[in-house]
Amino acid sequence: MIEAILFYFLAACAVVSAVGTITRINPLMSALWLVAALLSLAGLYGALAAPLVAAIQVIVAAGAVMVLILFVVMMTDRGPEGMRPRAIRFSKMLGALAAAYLAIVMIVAVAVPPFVASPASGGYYESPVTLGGFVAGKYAAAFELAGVMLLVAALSVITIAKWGERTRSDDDDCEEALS
Amino acid sequence: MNAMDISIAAARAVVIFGLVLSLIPVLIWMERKGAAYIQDRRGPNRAHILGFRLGGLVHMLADALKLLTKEEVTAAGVMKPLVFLAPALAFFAATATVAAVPFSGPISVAGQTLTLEVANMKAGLVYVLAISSLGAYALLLAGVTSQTSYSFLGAMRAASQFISYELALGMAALALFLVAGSLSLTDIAADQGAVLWRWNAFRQPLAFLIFMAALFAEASRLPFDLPEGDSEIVGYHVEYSSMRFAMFFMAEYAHIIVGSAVVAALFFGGWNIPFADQGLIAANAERIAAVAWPIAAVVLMLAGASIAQRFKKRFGDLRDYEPVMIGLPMMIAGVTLAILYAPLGDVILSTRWLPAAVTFVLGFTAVLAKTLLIASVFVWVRWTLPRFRYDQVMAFGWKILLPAGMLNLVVTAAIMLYLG
Amino acid sequence: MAIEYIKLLEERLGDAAVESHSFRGFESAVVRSGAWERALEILKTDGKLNMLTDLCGLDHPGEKDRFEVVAHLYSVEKKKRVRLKTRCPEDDPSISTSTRVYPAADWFEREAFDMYGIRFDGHPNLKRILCHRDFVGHPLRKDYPKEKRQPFSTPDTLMDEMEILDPCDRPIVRSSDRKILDGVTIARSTIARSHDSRFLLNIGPSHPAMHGCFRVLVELDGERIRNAVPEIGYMHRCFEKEAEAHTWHQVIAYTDRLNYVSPIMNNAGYCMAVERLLDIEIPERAKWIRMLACEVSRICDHLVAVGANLVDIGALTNFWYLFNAREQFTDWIEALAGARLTATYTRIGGLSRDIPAGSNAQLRSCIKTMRQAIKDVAAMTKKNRILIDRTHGIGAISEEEAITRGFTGPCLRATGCAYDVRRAHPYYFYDDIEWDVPVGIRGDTYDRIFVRMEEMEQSARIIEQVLERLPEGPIMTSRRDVVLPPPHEVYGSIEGMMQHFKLAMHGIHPPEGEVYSYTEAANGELGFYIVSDGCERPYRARVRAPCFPIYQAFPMLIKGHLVADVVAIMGSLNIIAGELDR
Repeated sequence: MIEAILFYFLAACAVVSAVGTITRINPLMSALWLVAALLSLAGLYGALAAPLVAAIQVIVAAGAVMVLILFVVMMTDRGPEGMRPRAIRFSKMLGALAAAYLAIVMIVAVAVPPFVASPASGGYYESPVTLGGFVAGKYAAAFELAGVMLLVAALSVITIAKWGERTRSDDDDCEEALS
Repeated sequence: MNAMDISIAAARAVVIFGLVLSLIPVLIWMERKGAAYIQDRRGPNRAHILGFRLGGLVHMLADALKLLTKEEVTAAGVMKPLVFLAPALAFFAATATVAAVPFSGPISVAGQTLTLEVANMKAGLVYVLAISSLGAYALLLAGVTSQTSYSFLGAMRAASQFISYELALGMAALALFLVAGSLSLTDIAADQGAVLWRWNAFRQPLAFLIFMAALFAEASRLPFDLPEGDSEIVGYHVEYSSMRFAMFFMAEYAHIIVGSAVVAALFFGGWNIPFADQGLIAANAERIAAVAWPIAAVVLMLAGASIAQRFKKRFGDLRDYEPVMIGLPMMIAGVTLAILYAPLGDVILSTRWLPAAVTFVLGFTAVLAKTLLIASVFVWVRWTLPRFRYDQVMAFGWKILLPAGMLNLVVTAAIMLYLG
Repeated sequence: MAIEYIKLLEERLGDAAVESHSFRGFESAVVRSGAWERALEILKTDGKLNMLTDLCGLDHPGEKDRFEVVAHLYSVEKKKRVRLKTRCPEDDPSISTSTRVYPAADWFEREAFDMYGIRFDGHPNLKRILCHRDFVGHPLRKDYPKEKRQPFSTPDTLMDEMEILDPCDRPIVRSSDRKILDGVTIARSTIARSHDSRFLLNIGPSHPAMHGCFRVLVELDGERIRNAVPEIGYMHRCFEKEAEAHTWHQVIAYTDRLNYVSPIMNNAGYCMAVERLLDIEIPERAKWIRMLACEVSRICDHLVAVGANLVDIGALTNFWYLFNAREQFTDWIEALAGARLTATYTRIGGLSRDIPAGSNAQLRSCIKTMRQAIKDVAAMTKKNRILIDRTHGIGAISEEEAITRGFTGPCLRATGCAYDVRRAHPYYFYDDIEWDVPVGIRGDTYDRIFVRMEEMEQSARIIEQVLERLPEGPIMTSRRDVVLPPPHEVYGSIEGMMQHFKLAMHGIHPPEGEVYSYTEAANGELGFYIVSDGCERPYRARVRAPCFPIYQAFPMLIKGHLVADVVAIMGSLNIIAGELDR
């Protein structure tokens, strides 16, 4: 009973903060909502009797998102005016396609769960040895792929930020020329 | 999990958090008196309640009252929820870590093994790192949402400093994990045992130094108090006033206490007393109590007498009677103890739970003493060293502490592998 | 003394050199306004007068060329001084700037413009400096009423100056400009956010590390200073205007407030100037006691400067060690003058009172405390890795640059130049006793701190020798046109009574003339340029404050450094607002 209440409460928190993350115009607020979402997830892991994973989740939330915020503040220069919708380009369509694909995959994953309920309980996920075994052994490839994906994401963020900066200064030049 | 377990857990949580909270004024007092004696001053000694000054401890009460009753000023146009959230988060991050810290060794009472800790977490070390790293958000929020350029600089300093030193902290902690084979603070403390040179401060000296340095940075204490940097940028909390401002400082002191407790558990054997392990203490509990009782009586009497004889008419008010009012009860207590020894001594010394009580009291005292001793290092360093500059902090964290931590980790791993 | 410079000018300028005169051994040359810059250039390049110690204006209402510009030049190597003057008419009060010859002239010229409305053609930034930018009129002109008040409350954005100055040319981590995200925008008073989204930060006028009241607007790149504009004048108390409205004696009390950390040195400096004007020699005992009080003041000043500087760097404890010692010295000053801070101790012609009984033992115990404090502080700082890393090479200036910028005192000696007025132009008995001039090598914050530390030790040596050699005798001169006669003469003779009446009612009347008198104050050469028209009040009492040119170079010193360095450098320069703004 308590577990169920806890689960639904944390799940609701996670969903609300995830929505907050993608709807805030101010990137800093987005990042803070992201922290909230990640912390809710950590709570869910905790409720699933996997405190180690929960703690690691908190570290990720605290450390990685903090870096993200620093990047946001230092590298991007855009307030709301930088977030204006732009003309649809090919890249946007590609992005939309990718999003649609992801949505389908997730719907399928949720509808047809390929996992069976975890046989292990309590101590199983509490041990760093088990977790280490998973990360370095069974799921090593997935883990590394996820790492590569994050790296690519970080690089693209920097690229976009720098690119945005350049176009912004171009805009400024245009304005100066006009005035 | 039955009602009994839940109530025991709740009681432990209340006791431990209460302990940390009540240690905060003690540490502030230590800081003020320590600073004063380092600087050839007397420190706080004026405020009194009915003449009781308690060596300046009453000042903490006066300060708390002052801060609670001050006007709270919030700048216009800030995001209020975040401004309110920041000090609370700071305090939460500083105190929640204590849940993983053992304050006494395992003692068996009525067939149950109990430890004075909120929860024996298998992932205690990771939990400590996780929660303490959340503290950076408090500073970041406070600095950024205040909408002042000074506090903004403070927030940026805080964020980059926390990120840089968390890695070093983690590296140092990981080496301990390799040595003890567990992430639980209780296990790590137990693993060190009562043998002095098995304590991690001696087995892992490099990790100890790195951990301490990183802890200074995480608690943003001098020489790492750049987020505050009061002579340069005034600090991330420049727009805060009243109790919310005080919360940041309470959080800082709580951070020091909890950090010291963690260091005590990780590097100084936690509840272990050098060369007197738990079994030895339990076996000799009766003898220890039999010796300690008369000694306590004599010490109380002597201390009471020495305090009481300082009675002198100096102020012309109740403060004059403070030595007497403290010294006399102490003497009476000592005398009572001595008198009670004859009728009650045998009864108490032969009770069943005496070994458990003695081990608990000694273990708890050891943890407390170690914690306060390590905390006093924080005070000592603060009043000795100048502040780092921003680039020096970054260079120190990334170019010295982190590589040293990695090296330590690799060497430790190699040795552990060799030893099997 | 410096007749060669007059000859040089006459030779090279021909007709443009109008006249020359000498008063109390100080040579003055007057040139035509058209030849001003040329004359300065000749004196600098051929005359080796490498330091512009002072430049100020003067007002002569009713005369054909109403305004006068007076520059005092000094050659550090030849130890020679000369005064150069020129005149410009009221309807077109302009002469060419001397900033191209002497960079130090920048603020001096701005002050002359502010105070007299003299325009310096070619000056890069001729803007009011002590008065508010909206101030109407020029306060030091004789026709500006002393009582006239003009209250202002709008702060200057300083953006006009920010545009003129070149940003830092040292390597900068990242060059792109920064804007803070909207929604968490920096707003309100501390930040002036301009259209081109630079990160600007106001350090001061109210800031924990601005000891006094001055403001620097810095443009940041991260924490690195790209550009900086200082603003002064928040503590302008119209010293020079007030001096012109008070009698010669009354001005002494005003000098306390110049460098309020070591007021007796200002008293002594002013009285020495007036004495030079009157051409009187004060009694020997008065000279020794003035030396004693000045050195005690110097120690007090340096204790504050070093202590506060270390606080800015974050080493708080040193402050208490040093202030313990200062407390004892201040106790002695209190026993000496009756006040701890505003001493008003010296009088024209001597001293207000003799040193208190027991001074010998008291001062020796003060020195003992001070030596212990210095030992403790040196132990905590001298080899401290953090402090060394924070101060070595920070705010460094070369000897040559420092001289051109008009640096004097410990800040100049930290660069390696051993210029100390007490040694170069000994006054009183400074050449009779043994002491050394400590110098630094790098001219950075570290050297400035430790030059001051060593100077305290030297001052202690001087005090010890003065205490040993202090002769008996009067402490006031016997000249009756300056000093009140003793009571028995006032009540016993008609001459004495008349003397007393004349002095009490009309004060002293120094002869017509001008002197520039200079002493080594705690921060450097404290100069008093005093012009008398033979009346009971100074015609002009100009103070050459050592801080003024030093603070002028502050933006140059901090550019490229970090925010934390700003306060460290600021503290090491020991800028005193009272003396800076006067």
